Amino acid sequence: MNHRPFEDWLLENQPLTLEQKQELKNHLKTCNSCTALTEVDLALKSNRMAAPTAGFTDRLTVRLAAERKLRHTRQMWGVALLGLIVLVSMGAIIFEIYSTWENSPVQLLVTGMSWLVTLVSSIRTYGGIGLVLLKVTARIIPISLWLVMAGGGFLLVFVWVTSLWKLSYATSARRLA
Amino acid sequence: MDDEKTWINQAQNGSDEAFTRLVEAYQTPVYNLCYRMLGEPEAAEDAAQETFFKSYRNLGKYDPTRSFATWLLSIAAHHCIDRLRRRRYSSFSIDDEENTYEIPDTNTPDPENEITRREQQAQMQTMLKKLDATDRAAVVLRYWNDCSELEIAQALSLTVPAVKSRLHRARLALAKLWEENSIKANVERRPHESPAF
Repeated sequence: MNHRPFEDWLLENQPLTLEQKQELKNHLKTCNSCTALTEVDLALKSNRMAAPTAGFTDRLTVRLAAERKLRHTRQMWGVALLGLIVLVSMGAIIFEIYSTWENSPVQLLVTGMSWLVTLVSSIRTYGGIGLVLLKVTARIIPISLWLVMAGGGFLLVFVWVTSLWKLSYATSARRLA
Repeated sequence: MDDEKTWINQAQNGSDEAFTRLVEAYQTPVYNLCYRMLGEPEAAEDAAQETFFKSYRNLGKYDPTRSFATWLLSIAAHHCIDRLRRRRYSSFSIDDEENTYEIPDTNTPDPENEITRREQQAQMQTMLKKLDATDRAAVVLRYWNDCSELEIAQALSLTVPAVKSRLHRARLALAKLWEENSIKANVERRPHESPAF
């Protein structure tokens, strides 16, 4: 009999018949690698647990307390920063309102109109730039590529909608369960 | 077991006392896994603390239908595997073994046997160091923590056949190292043997 079945028996830890046990015993007398496998198994099975030094729980408790303190400090700083941002924003708004109170109605009207004109002219300018770009690219890019891009866009939208639907379906199913 | 469920439930609701009880119950298996994986008592202590720390933060995510021990050991194993992958060179030396406290076996009064056993332990630790990190974790979970193949698979995010194959590979590698060490030991012993040789 060759070496392989004995190695498999040892690796699988299968229950062996008396005859097989005898065969294995005879094989172990001549096979160093199977003997090593048996000895390693015995050594592994006789290993003991390594335990931490005394006071492990206390050290962990101290660490957890320190972490909690750090988290609390971070939260405090976060709240303070948020408060500061809110205060500054409110101050700016109040200052803006206060400064417009001093203006006459004509000045307010002129300022409002100039804002409106700027907004309309910006929209027209960007629209014009967009149109020029579209015309230029339409000439450079062939129709087949436009079709591929449109198809790709459609596919992306489809994947997005499907994943959203699946996600919402899974969430509702989990809630029902 | 019911006590454990109660502690977990209380700890999930913010009871530090219940969490401390869980730490006391599991500190040895978690530390042992970390020590066998990393090979250094200081690193093992740090990794074990980190494991409990992570479990404390993620207690809300723990699924009570699964074994708490497996969940905890899974955190420890993944942490140690990550650490070993980040580590370029392992710096474990056998001297470190002396700094670790092992649970004594009160049934062995024979000091000679105890010395042999300690030597075997040191040899095993050196051999474990030569295994791949995931294989090492599988061996430790199997032989020290008595985990089933399914539990190992859950802890290491592997399939059961993958665990089987990793355990086989690891045992064969350990046997090869064991055989090499035995040959080396025999060769070293020769000069001190009887002058008749």
